[in-house]
Amino acid sequence: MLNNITIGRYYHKKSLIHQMNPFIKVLCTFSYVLIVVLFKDFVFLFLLLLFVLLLALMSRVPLYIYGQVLWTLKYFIITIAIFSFLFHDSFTEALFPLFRLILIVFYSSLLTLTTSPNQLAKGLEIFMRPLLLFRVPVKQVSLSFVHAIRFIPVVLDTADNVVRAQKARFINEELSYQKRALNAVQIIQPTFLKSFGKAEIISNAMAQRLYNLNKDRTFYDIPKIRFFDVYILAIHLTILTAIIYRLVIG
Amino acid sequence: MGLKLDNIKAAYGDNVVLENINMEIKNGLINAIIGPCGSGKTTLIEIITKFQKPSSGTVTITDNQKIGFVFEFPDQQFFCATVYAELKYGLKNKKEEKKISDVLKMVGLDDDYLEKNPHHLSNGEKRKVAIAAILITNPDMIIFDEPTVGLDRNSKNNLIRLMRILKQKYQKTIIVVSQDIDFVYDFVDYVYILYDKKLVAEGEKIALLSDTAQLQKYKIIPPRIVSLTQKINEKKNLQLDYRDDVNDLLKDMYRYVK
Repeated sequence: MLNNITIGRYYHKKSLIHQMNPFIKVLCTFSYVLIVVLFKDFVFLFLLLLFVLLLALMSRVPLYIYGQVLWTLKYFIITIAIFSFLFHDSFTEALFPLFRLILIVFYSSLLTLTTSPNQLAKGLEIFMRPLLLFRVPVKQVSLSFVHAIRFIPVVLDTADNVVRAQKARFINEELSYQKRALNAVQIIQPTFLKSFGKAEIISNAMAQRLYNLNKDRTFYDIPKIRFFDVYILAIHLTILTAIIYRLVIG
Repeated sequence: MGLKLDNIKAAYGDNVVLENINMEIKNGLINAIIGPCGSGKTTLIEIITKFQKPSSGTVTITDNQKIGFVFEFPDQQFFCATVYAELKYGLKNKKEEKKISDVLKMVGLDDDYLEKNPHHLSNGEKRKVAIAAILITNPDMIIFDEPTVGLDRNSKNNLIRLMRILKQKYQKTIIVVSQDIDFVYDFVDYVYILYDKKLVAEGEKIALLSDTAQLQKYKIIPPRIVSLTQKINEKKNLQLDYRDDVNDLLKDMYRYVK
């Protein structure tokens, strides 16, 4: 049912990608998104796909998990495709936004699948630190952002549970379209109520562990920046610099 | 025959969780599926209830029988704000609303519960409401997943009484998935043992669950009453029959002493 939706989940494995420093990962993701958005060449985008595929293989997360993330967003991708074909003159032009979206989703799922929530929060916090100059509450924003992403599977699990609870009463029965529509509507309210309940449990658990947003935190298991991190970041930054240089020079 | 499973296989990726399951659940009986943790009980139930598709094999439900499924944790089964709404959900039209009180009475609750939030009830009451929510749909077959979790002895006895009524008075077929071997031995008719992803044994309750050597092979601790009978037979060199009721066992012992 809904529990095969993998968006926002962390997939625990021991791999070079998992052991990367979260800040470097966030930086790489940001660079990759910029590269994908700035460049408009199919061959190059295809090379970028091969690149993210290579990283995905190195992450030792089964490739079908990445496939599931894309499958989860199928309706969103289809909608983008329809709009893209409506507003572009040529077929190839229309394919660009679609291809870009797939690459961005693929790369961001590489980030979320290989980075634990704590590490991701820390990575984002360091990444957004320059915003402190503008008095942006970076810690709060990064933590809220990470919790929002991580809460997607919780909400989906809850919705799945409600669907099961409804189905448990009518197994092997043909339901009328009216009843099915009613079932679909009735999923929303309990899903939100149960999700809020779970959010409260999480916040209580954090409070019990004396979590205080206003105090500086130490991180127990943030990996140090190693040669591999620098190497991967260098690849990203080189490509990005080359593209920006080409755009500026023309 | 009410339900037939043919060559069921289930796997999550490369991880096979059920293999070559062939099973026929007969109508009108209380059946139990037992087995140690990780033997595939939950997956089997999910396949029967169509929550999950098997990797291969078929599930046949004869005569379009309706199936109701009572969850292991009642809280997961509730999605309405009141007991009334929870029960009303299973009704097909407004005329059937008088069924609500009848079903509540059947599980031992009264109308005072109707306006209560099901999540705020005690464990035993939650279990009763969860059962009532399924009973109101009038299923031919009811599946209980670990129904004794969080229940005291008294509540367990009430549950046994209810299941017996469902079988005898309303001719319901019942499938109980449980690790509580004493609870199972108390009242079921037929037992299936799952072990290491396979259906390894099935049979009449007393014949199957009194074979302690076989149970130990499948990492199942025998029912206490069976162990007691066995010890008495060994120590006193008697030939007492295996019983599912301790009073019957006492009567047998009394007869021997006499």
